[in-house]
Amino acid sequence: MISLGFPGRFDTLLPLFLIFFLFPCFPGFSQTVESPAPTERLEVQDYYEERDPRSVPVPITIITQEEIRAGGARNAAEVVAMAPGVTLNRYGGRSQATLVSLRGFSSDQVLILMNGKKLNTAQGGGVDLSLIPSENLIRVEILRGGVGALYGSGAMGGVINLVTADEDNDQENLEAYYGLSSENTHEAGVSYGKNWDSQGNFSTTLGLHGLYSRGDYTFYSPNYETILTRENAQVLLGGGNLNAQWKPFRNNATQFGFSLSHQSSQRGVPGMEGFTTPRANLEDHFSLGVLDLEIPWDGINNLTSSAVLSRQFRKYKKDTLLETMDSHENTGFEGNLTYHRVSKSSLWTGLAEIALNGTYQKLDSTALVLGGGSEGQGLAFRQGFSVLALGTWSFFPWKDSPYFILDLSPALRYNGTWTEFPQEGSNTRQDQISWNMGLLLTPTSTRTLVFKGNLGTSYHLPSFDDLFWLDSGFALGNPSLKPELGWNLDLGVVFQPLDWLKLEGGYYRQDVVDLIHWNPGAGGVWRPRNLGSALMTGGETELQIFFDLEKISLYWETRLNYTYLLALNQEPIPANHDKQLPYTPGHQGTFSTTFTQYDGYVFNISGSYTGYRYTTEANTVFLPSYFLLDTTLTLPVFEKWEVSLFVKNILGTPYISRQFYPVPGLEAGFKIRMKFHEN
Amino acid sequence: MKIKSLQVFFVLSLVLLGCSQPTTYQTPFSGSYSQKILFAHGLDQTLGLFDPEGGTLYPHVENTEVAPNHLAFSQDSLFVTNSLSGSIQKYSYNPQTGLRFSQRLFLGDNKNPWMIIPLDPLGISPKAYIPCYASNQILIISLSPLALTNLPSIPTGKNPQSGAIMGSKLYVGNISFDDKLFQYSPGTITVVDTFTDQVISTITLDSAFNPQSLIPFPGLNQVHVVCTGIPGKNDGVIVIIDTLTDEIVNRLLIGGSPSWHEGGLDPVRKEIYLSGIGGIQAYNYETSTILGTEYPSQGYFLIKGDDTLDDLWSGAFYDKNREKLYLCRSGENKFLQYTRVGAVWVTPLSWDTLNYPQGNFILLP
Repeated sequence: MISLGFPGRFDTLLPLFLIFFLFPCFPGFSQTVESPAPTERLEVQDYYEERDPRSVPVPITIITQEEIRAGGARNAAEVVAMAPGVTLNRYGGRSQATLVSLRGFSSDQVLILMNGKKLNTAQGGGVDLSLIPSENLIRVEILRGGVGALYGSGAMGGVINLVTADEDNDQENLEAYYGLSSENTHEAGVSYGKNWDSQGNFSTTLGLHGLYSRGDYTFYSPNYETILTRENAQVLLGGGNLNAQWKPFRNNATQFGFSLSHQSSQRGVPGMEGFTTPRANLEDHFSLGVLDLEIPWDGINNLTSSAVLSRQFRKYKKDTLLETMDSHENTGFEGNLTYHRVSKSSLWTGLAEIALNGTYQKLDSTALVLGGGSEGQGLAFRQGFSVLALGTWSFFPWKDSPYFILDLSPALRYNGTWTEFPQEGSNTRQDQISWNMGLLLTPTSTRTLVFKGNLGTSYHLPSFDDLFWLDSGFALGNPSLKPELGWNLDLGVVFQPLDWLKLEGGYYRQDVVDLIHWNPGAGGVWRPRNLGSALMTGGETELQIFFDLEKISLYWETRLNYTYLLALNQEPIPANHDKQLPYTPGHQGTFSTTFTQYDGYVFNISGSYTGYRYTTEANTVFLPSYFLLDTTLTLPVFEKWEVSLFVKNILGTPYISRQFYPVPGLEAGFKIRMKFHEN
Repeated sequence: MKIKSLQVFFVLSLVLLGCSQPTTYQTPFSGSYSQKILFAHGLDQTLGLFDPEGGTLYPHVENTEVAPNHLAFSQDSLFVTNSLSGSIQKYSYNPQTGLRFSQRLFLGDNKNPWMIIPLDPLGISPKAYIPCYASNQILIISLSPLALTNLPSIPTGKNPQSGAIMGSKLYVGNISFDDKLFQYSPGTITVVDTFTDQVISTITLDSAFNPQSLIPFPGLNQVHVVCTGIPGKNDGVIVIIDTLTDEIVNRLLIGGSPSWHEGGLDPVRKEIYLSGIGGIQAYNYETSTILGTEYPSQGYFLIKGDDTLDDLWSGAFYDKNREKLYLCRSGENKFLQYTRVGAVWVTPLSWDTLNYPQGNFILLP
């Protein structure tokens, strides 16, 4: 029996959905044309890369490079925090992990992409966004809500796409930066891009970056009732990336793409307050290689393929032994083949796409359950394939009237996965069908008002850690775990009555069953079970104001958002039922206001409020709310140089994000940036 | 009009952002605390109260810190050992008004205390021993006021977790988990002279693993070491030590993964009640006879639950006045009451608790 990934009453919708979905694909019902109406189209293969949220049926926030730099974000985590629905879980200062939670979903249930390619590994544990420098980011897209049909396993809370490579029309460009900031942090980087012929048929970019931080910040310790210095919090990080794009045929847009990126880091693991580990350290290496091929052979039919190879190697040295305790090597391969076709009739235009995807993941770890319950080195494998059919169609019910447009974006995915664990002789197959239906309703010609809706399902396969991890005396995986399943509904509206004012608002509801919970068992050993179910519901609003104050040669842009989140535990334990999930704030808000002088300085002041968060399932204990205020001033100093000065947490607000993990108070620094562009 | 709309938006936002923080979670209880049963919820950092007469459970009457693993009563005060916070909390006790938090003591970095062992509850200078799992030592603290003393800590074997006083000797069970090999080594017992606070001997438990609890029997001159074994292996064993010679005199191969908490004892029938994975186990401590039914490859059980690792029974407390057995079933977050009918425990009543009820019961005076 194949699970459809949503509660039973929705199963009955499937036949209707299939009929609807397949209808526009039948040749008899459509005729091909040269291209779809350009203003109403989403590029299907880059499904949610459009800048304008009004053209995307799910809630999405897109943060541009200008906003990233104006706000002084130091890493990808601080960028993502600008969006509604995002909660950062900081485990310390610059060198320590920062994991993202979206709408109450954990970092394992949020998919992190880099240029559309997954960074999450099958081992699990989420993606640490503190290690990704903001300087490399050209754009960040935060898509909220479950979109399992579009992205596969893990896209329950949403998807975050970190864009580091973009089409560049510069003939040649060079950028370099150096920064010095609190915690004795030094960072530097350089990137160089060149189009090797005048038509841009062959272009390359090369980037290098590095960071060192001693991580020695002070904090108030309630245990010792005094100010202490965080020790063993240093980090040394280095990485680079190489991208190449090649269009070999002058009269054809066929394009090859190649990218290779690597990052290594070594950092101290200071431990929890009360359980400090002054000598433990963690070594991380992550490599990602991508090969892309795009063949748009006749303007109507388009074929793309990609191959992605990733490798994460992680080595943990424990405090007491200073020798390698755990090492994990996660190797992954993913291949994609996508065909899409443009079609149009008198009442609609659309794109239909079929995508095939195959994945292979291997974990070689020293902390796996071996025969008889002992711990040791072992292997785990996961192979899978999926078939995805999706499309986007615009309907014009009144043929000659542009005043009413209905966009529908259905998607349907089948995913088959085999998880093999040779040590126990197990090989488990799991089948998932997930679907998604997006809707945009534009009742006006100017798109002043757009209604959005999205209904769909999502799922998350248990990670290798959930299934097979063994840390004797502490944790024991559970090979019987089932996937987490969810369905979600999003309703929203974008209202832009004036050029300078845009208001977005939305309601969402997400139900999850078979939620994986880790709980302590005999001897204090923690084990995961498909215990839980949860209901996430709430609202997200965002207000954007933009003024061009010509008289004083100034742009003024403000972004303000507020998120209400009711993340309720629905498991049938009376003590926990209808209680807010731990570490999910009910109220969150951010604001960011930026003044940009024409060809001059950029001044930004921004703040974020995080409401109280319970730390226990039964909501018996909570961490207090806090408000952080940051500011950044960027000044052009020479023709190609600029300096950014920033202060984080100006008010020095004492707060913690996760219990037992102190974070720094006020932080400050500067960054010098050199930019050379030749068009 | 636009300005007004914006103003309304901002005001609404401020109202929402300014939402008040929650008050401390609490289950209201009024009445006498005397003869009520107190226990801890490990995951929820609270203390629960059960009224045996009224048959009512109050899931929370007091907050603790993180991982309250052990409760002890001494000098009209309750002492809570919070393993993860590395702290001891002291609550003054009045039967009419209940518990009142009075002091907190942080024991230091990397201690991981598991229990508090008051040396002489009736003494004039009360002190207590605290086995610290992570630092391989026993800390000696003063109970009134609650403070660290100048007395040097006592070195133990690896991972001390349990302890019991027998006359002038303190016995401490060392778990002996090998961080390098990722496995349990056979447990050891450190014996300390409480006059000099010096280690006088170390007893190796040979093939018995994970000595999580010690039961003192002054009348028998014995300490029973409840070895929980390796989780999931059902290799629980009771090692009996003669405290006159500090030698092992017997082993009861009881199976399962038992542990014992204070109060899990019937002094009339001479029975010990143990809790662990899959149910309740028992034996007669005078005759060293294992009670209950043997389940192949699992062990002997008096009350059998499920076979899975997840069905953890985390505590057993015998109320000799009412002849009831009170149990915590952590896997289901239940508090259970069993009644003895002849030789059989029947008619369980159950109450929902908060998360992960710990097995440390205190019958409040």
